[in-house]
Amino acid sequence: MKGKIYYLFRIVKIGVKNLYLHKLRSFLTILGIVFGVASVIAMLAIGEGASYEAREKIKELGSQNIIIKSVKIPETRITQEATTFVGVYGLIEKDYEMIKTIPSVDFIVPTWEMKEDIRYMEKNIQGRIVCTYPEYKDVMNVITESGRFFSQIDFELFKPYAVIGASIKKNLFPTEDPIGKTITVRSYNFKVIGVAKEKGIVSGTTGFIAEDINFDVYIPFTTGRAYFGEFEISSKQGPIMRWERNWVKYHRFIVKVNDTDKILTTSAIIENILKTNHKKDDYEILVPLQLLIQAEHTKRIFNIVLGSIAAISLIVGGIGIMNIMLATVTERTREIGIRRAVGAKRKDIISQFLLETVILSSVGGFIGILLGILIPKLVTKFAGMTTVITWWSILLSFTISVGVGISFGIYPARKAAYLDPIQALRYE
Amino acid sequence: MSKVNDNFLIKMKGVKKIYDLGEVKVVALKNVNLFVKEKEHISIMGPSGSGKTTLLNIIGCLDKPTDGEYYLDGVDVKKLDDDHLSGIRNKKIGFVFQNYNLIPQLNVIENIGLPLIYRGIDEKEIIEKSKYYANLVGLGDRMYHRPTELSGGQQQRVAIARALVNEPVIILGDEPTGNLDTKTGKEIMEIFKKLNEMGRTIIIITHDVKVAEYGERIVKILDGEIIDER
Ligand SMILES: Nc1ncnc2c1ncn2[C@@H]1O[C@H](COP(=O)(O)OP(=O)(O)OP(=O)(O)O)[C@@H](O)[C@H]1O
Ligand SMILES: [Mg+2]
Repeated sequence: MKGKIYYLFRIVKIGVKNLYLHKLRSFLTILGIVFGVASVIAMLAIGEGASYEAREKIKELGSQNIIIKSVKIPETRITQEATTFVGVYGLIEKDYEMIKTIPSVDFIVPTWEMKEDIRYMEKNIQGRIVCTYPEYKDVMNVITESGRFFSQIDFELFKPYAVIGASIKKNLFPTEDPIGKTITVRSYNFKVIGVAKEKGIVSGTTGFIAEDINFDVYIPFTTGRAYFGEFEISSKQGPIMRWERNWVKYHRFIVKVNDTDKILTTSAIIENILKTNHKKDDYEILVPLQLLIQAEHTKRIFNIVLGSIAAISLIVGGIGIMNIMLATVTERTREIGIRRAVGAKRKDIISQFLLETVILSSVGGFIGILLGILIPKLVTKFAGMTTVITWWSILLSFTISVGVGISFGIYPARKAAYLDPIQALRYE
Repeated sequence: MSKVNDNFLIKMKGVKKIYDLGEVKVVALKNVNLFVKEKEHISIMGPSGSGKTTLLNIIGCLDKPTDGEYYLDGVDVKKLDDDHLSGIRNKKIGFVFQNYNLIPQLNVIENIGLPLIYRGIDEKEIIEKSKYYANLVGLGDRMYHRPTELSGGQQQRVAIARALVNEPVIILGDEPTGNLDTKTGKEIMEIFKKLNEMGRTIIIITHDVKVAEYGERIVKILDGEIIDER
């Protein structure tokens, strides 16, 4: 047993020595493997990244939800004065009532939102005020890190309560406990009753614009309506300062469907309702579940493209290795003859050359892995795509490179082993 | 296949070797009968192309006869497969070639130890034995040199040490002094002589009568046949 290990060690040593003797040649030979393995890892990392992104997004948006958003379009003005626009767009009461009656809809949570400065003492941060129903907490999976979300009673009693996002807390209350403190929006005071736990934002390759929900402030819909009404007011920078007033009934509906299987049909029904209710395209339907479908699509495209590159590189790499090994066998014919003369069996010669090929392809595999780890990082940096490198993809590609070494090395190795020892010894 | 009532190490009867080159058939050995006892020192002589190397390769189990009988140490070589022949070469035979046949990438010690790595002996023992034989052939101070850094005579000493390291029954030399000057050739032959005195069977091909005279018996071969033995 010990002897066997030394034997193996010897072959490895000789193999490395021989490859090192032809550094440049060995390096060029393994390039195919390097790129093949790198493509495999990059492919899997990008594909995995796409589904990871989709899963995270779904976690954030809720897999059983359909989200309907109001979309401002340029032609929403009804009057136009020198300094003021007045427009109307978005989801209306009728939409709410009709969607509510769809049998597969569990419930529908509306929101009304505005970007506004939130103040505490002399500190000030821009956030998004989300006026909503208590159920929002459940459908959007808002977890309170401290304190609580507002309740049905708070809602019915028009309480001036606020639940602030993690980033709001960080900015306004870096050292203090915000619970019980009073924040001010416009001229209205709100008591902080809860802080939402930080949520990761997922960058978007999936068509959804990323929103940092950590800058949200949740208040009861009733309170919001009473304080802020239904007009969204924004200023427009230009040669002269202009004000834009838009009448928006609801900004968002979060519709919870009672069965995952019914999501697509429900969203089709909703789309019909909205089409009849709206003349303009001032809404948008987002189905988080569809992200998965989209992600699978992205994944498939990358798998096809990079999979082909990988396959071609690996085959070409394998052929390159085979070619070099055949040349090596020819070059070392006399060595083979000598080894056979002193008692090497055919299988000894096979192991020697096969091991040399495997070392060669493993080194290629190793460099390929390093490159394969680098590529997804660059993709993330420059294309903004999420990539996830899994340990099993590294294991897989290493196995592939060893496999290529064995499958393309077996022929040259056998050729070496089946040389006639006498002819080999005479070879000049 | 039992060991018959003789003490011949090599027993050849009617050995033929024909190289089939497709259109032509080259008869390298016509009809060879050769008997060698243990501890003999034999010289083989004959003109170029007469079949000396072919005969030596068959004796050394590098090649098989096309026809005839060959028993080595009581074993019928004809019946052995490639693995067994390799095993015999590894344990019972030591080859020394005219052109030394060392592996250029390996140093002296590694070249000497080559037969042992195919035996699964551990590294330390291989090195010990290789060093011992390097010293024996007078290369104690060249152990880590590459073959290219050695003179012809020194290279041939390495080859002899390699042929000895597996403690074989027979040492076969195919013109071992052919590439060496007279003085160095003589030194090499002295080593063979000493080995023979130590109990090794030695068979050497040579064109040099002086070298041949080291042998107790000279076998003359012509056109694939033994024509004279004395
Ligand atoms: N592998 C081979 N294929 C074909 N013919 C061969 C082969 N090996 C040897 N021969 C032929 O067999 C004959 C004997 O060759 P061999 O090498 O045994 O001669 P030799 O006596 O050793 O000669 P030299 O003194 O020149 O070394 C020659 O005619 C040679 O051409
Ligand atoms: Mg010859």
